[in-house]
Amino acid sequence: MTDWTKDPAQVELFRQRSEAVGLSRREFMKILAAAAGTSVVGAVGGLAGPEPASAAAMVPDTEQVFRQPYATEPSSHDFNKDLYCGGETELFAGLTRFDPNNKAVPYVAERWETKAKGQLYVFYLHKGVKWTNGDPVTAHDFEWSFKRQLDPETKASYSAFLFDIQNGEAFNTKKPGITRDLVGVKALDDYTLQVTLESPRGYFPILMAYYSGLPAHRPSVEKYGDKWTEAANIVTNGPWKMTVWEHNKRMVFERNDAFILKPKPKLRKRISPIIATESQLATYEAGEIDRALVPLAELKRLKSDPRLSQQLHIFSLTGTFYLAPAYTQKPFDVRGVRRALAHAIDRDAIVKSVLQGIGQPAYTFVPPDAPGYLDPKKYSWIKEATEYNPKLAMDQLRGTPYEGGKNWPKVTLTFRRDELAGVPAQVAQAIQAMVKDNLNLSIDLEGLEGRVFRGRMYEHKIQLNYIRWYMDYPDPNDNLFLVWYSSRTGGSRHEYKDADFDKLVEQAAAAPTWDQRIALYAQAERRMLEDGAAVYVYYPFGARVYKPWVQGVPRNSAGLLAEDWNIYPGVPNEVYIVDAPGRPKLS
Amino acid sequence: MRETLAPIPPAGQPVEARAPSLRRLHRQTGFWHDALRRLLRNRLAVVGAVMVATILLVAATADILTPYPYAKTNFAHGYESPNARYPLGTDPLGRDLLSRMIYGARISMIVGVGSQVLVILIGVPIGAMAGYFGGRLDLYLMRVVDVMYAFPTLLFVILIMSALGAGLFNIFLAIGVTGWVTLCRLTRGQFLALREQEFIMGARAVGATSWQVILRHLLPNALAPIIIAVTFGVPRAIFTEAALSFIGVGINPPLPSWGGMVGEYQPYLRSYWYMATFPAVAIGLTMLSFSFLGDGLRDALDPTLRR
Repeated sequence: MTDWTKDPAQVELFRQRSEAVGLSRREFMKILAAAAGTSVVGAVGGLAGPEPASAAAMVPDTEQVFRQPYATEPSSHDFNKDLYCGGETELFAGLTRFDPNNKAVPYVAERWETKAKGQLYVFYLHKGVKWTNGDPVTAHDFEWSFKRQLDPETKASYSAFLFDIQNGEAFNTKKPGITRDLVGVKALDDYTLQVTLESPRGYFPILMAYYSGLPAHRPSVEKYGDKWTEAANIVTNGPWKMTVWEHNKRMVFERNDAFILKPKPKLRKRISPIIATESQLATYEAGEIDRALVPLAELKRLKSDPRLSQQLHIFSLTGTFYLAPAYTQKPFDVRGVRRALAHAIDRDAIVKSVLQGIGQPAYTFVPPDAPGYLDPKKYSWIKEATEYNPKLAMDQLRGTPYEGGKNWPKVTLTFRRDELAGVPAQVAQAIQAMVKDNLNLSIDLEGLEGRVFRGRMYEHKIQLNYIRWYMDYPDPNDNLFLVWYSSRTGGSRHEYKDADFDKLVEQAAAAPTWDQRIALYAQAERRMLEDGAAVYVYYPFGARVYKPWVQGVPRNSAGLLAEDWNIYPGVPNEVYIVDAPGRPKLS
Repeated sequence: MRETLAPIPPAGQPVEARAPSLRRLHRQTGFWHDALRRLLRNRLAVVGAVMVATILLVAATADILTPYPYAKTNFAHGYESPNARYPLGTDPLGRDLLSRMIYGARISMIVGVGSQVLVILIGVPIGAMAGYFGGRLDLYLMRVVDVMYAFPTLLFVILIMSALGAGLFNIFLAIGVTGWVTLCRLTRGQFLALREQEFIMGARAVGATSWQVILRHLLPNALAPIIIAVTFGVPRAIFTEAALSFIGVGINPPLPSWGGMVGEYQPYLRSYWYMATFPAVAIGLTMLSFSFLGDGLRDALDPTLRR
């Protein structure tokens, strides 16, 4: 099979599929990256992993109970009908699944083959996979489920995810003459599923690993309608089954012992109370749940606590916070001002003090846990262009209308205020103070809600933008092309426009060897830094706590924690409970 | 204020009552004099008044009192608990919280008092005109007031702030534009009741113009309820500002306001209790002081309500 990720037409189609279902571009890119086979090289300092699996013995199976909070009440567990119902994905098993590296690997389909140059997929299903009521899981289940998702009568809001299937779109949009039977999914027998696509689509197994490919149990749907995912009615085929669902209160999942596929959960039971993100830590500390998200504001306390500090997992968010000055607006239309800004920001102070070390100072765009990261120690031009030095900052203003820090116009820094529990507001204020101290430039701060912010950003109506880029796929192209490349037709994120930079990025993408590509990307980064296009501030980390008796959080091939933060949902299938002091005896 | 108001007779008495020729009174015990006496006898009101005076003093002398500039960052000293150098600790940027509290008092007072000035400037003239002239003018003005009443106040304020953007002046405007209706109705009610009184007829009879009647006779007599309303309006405005800053549409950073501080430091509460606690207590105490004073003033100025 040829690599579909090298085929722009297929990548574009895949992007459209993802967009149609509201899948964030980031998630889309992560899937894409996994498919392209690029892998992460870890170079992140200060990331605390969990304690290495202690010698403590696993507790008996009856006590393998994990209390894992849900942040919001799911609207259902019917992924067929509503991809983003917020339900439990691990109740179901699709044809393929994601591994901790976000690669699609066999699941209910033990193997598959492609025919007609990738336009035809034949999935061979495992025999012996059963629904929780004892029915066998067959190719007919998948055929029916995909058709259900595409059926306009189902009114599935994200059916476009399956539009690659032949006649899928036509059937969904009620094109005359296109009936259910013409949709390109067909069970050749009980264990062979043939999928005919509109044209070759190398990424189809990835679509099948996503929630979009999960099946539904036909008899239950037909019997109970919308109520089929209630605890009393639900029939599932995955590693977990739901035994309790007290609405807005809690859910209980139990291991499906009849499930024959790997990975088989080591836990026997998961109790999932519904607790808003901001209340999770308190509940965790009260001993009522076994893991929780940690806001930065709580970190110092946790770190200084001898007990809690051992429970902290810090993982890289693989992203970059940066300042983007508007090229066409005063005073940033002057290169010296943009350069001065780079020298006026004390990134070490921001990371060490304001962020309490939860991050790493950034001088260039590509974060340290992604390939193509440029170590400032190795490249002297990074220091020359970005070093924190108030005197150098003032020097940059020489010869500009703002020499000596005078005659500044009104400047507004805009940031998103609805993220990371107030952290951006703190960093923005630190930047405000540094710019005032070092350049005598007073800036106003403006915190906007995400949707408004994005709108303004793409209209280029932000004077000084403080924003982050979470990386999508581990390649510098993700940063330099998607954010800064200006020769494209669609809307661009920032105003920066530079033909030479664009050329470097184009050349880098097409360069034959990895080393040549990295060298070209480095040149591109240098070009934009010397033009002051952006001031990179820091690479953010995230934090979670796990009770000491929870072990086995998976890691990806780079040795970093594969938290179920983005698309990989498999953490509950991997963790297990060991004997540790304070563990409640649950069953 | 007291000096100019002192000679005004109690409501309902003809102006001539204070004519020296009558010599009915053994000593001068004017309405305002009595009111002050009643106020001073009310312990809670005195406590409130003293606290309000203190806060006003702190606000006025903030520049002298603050040990550090309110926006001065010191990254080496971020997140510090209260200590000798920083009596109330520091915030994540190493800014002195005591200095920010003191400056916050100024912002709160400016917002509280400033917005009430705007409320008076809009509410009283409109209420006065409606009440005095009556008729169609009254009808139309009161319908406008009804419409304004129909909006949920805080929502309307947030709407205005979102449209205008954060900032001190915009907060004045938002609170002023939404807050005047209550005072307007109050003034109108007073004027309606007073304009039929004999001393007003008397004033008209001796040739006073409408403006003279309104400014010299009606307004002074309607002043007591207005003062009470404004006294309660100040803490309401402070609280509105606090709420706005809490949700991030109030004062622009780095300018500190108590509400903004509570909002900004609230996520840190469990790790650094002192950051949000002191401004929250300050808001509470200020509200309480004004409420005590307001209650006291109402008792003092409107004796009929007592007991």
